[in-house]
Amino acid sequence: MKKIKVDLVTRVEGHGNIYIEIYKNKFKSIKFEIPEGPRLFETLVVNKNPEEVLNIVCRICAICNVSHRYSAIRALEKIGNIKVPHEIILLRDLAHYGEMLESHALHLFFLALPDFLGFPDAVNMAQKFPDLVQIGLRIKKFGNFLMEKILGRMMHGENMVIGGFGRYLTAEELMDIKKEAEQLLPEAIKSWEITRDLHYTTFGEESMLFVCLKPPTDEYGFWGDEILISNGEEYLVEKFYSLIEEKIIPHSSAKHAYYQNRPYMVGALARMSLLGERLHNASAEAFKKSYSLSWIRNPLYNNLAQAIEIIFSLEKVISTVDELLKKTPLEETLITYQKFNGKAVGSVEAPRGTLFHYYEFKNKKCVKANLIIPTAQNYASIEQHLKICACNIIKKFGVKEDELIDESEKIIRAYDPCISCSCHIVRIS
Amino acid sequence: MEKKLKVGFYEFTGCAGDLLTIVHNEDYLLKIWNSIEIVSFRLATSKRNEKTNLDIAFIEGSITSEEQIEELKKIREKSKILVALGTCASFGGLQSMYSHAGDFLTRFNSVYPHKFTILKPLESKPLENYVKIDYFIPGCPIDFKLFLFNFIRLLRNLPVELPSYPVCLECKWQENNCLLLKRIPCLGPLTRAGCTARCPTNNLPCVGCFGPYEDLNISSWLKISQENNISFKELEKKIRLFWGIKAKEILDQLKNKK
Repeated sequence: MKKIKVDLVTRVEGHGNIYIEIYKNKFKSIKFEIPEGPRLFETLVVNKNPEEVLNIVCRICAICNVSHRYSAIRALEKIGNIKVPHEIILLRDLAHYGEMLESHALHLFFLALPDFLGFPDAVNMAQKFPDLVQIGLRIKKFGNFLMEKILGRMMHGENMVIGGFGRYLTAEELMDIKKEAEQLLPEAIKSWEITRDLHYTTFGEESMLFVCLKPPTDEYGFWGDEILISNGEEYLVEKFYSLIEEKIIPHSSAKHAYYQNRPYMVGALARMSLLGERLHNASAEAFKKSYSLSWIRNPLYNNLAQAIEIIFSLEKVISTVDELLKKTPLEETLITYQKFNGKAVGSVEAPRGTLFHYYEFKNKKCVKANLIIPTAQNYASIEQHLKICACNIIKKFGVKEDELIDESEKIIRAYDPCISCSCHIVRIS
Repeated sequence: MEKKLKVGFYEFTGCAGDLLTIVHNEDYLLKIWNSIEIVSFRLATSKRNEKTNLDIAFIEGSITSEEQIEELKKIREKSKILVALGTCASFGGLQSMYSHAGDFLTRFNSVYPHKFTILKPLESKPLENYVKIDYFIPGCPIDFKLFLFNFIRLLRNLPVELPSYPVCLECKWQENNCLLLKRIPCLGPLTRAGCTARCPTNNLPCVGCFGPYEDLNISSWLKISQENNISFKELEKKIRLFWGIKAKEILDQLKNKK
């Protein structure tokens, strides 16, 4: 029995390792192991009031802190029966686009592209593609700038609260945001072209099951109260949440999620495949020039889908600022709620896929919480594709360790399981 | 030329927000990079050299498994100076909120009701529960300017220096209206400064994410809270949010004064 162990020091909520077992030159098994230290967030929010729940849950992840906060706010406002004006949603979305830009730029330019262009990391890539790395840095910086301005801090900013914001942006701040987005847009289009022309290894013929939120209007977007599935089904978020089967896997501290016993994929690729037709302007053009049927069979196209979402987010920043400027200065609204009882699911699209926050409240105190994160939903799909890929390689080239390791890492990184850092050590036993 | 100090950046259980704060300040990152010899920084580079002794180790996150204790001890042994980076490493952070309750296994089993094979989990504790730490730089996440200031001090062989005043003072400098006087429970008077009073400046109460300021004026804070109908129970819950193992000392002091 030959065992290959890859200690991928990926930022998969900490660490992730791959184990490949090969018996008599035949593929036997593959495991994607997650040895992450437990924090038990579901128990930390119990007995807390709605504001404290927000203080806590954004800290689940430094990269998707806005998505966690936004999902929770959407659940809590349902429970408290709180309706917020359109301009507040616009400002929340603006912060959310910031997170998409920061997260996608970090993943695409610094973690994924070096794999495809044949460099060990972004620093080495910069020697041959200095412009590409510069664009990546500027988009990431702009995403962080948006979150810092709107939420009060680059990460874990507290300014987005139930009912609105503690402080609103001034017209001047909004103009600064728009100016930078306009400058970045042509650069983002250039980087999409580079991403489109990369070589994407083909996989098996099986098509993937995609899941994403259906935006309430007929536009492309990152939140909604209904779920779209690539098999044609549609559900209310609460219904789909109850249909997700969470399986506990001994080799992972993250649960694996299945739908009807099938692995499914969430994230940019799922959103683009299900909602791409709804895009406008430059992002629509990029989508038309990139989309092909291979997308539904190949998770590596998630990188290209992210490149298009960067264009989309920049375009939305510009149009959202225009809309907000008409309403600026925004008036401070103080939300008071008397009753806070009941249960609800709040959901947004995090950069790496659909995020579900479930809460139950009694007398303004949280009594139960459950969170289903994108990476938990993607695990089963990751393992499935690792297996397909390993079988293909062994069939074609025999047991070639380097090839197995490189391709496995490429797949895992394509899913963008939190930020996967490009470094790793390999141990073979 | 002067010899560059050997520095390692490590991460245990947390959200990676502290190391990410460093990585996200791209205007300074290259200068930091060039001023030291990086021995380990797995969030940013594949280069590492586990055997080298370190001049400085920066560690983010709290300790939540037996395996991490061993790893932490190894880093301590080879490091001249060990700095706890962020509130989790310094006090235990959010995940140490119930470290006083002794119900870890019950809570653990409620989230993971199955055999856990890949690590031996423990109640979350800060670094100082297992090794000697030389300095801490708190924050959830850390403030980059405060980090940079102290990073430069350490390079010059000077000790870490944290603001010796609470968030309340930073808040006054910004000429904000006091939230306590509006009956909003704000931890500004008890929390160490360093964040430029970000939350109160946005009209939101300080949640205490930088941990306690040691020379706090407890009696005065209690008095204002009582005058404004903020209950002790409410305050206790707020204090426990971020202060991990430090919450107990402060709460004991508060109870004595009450």
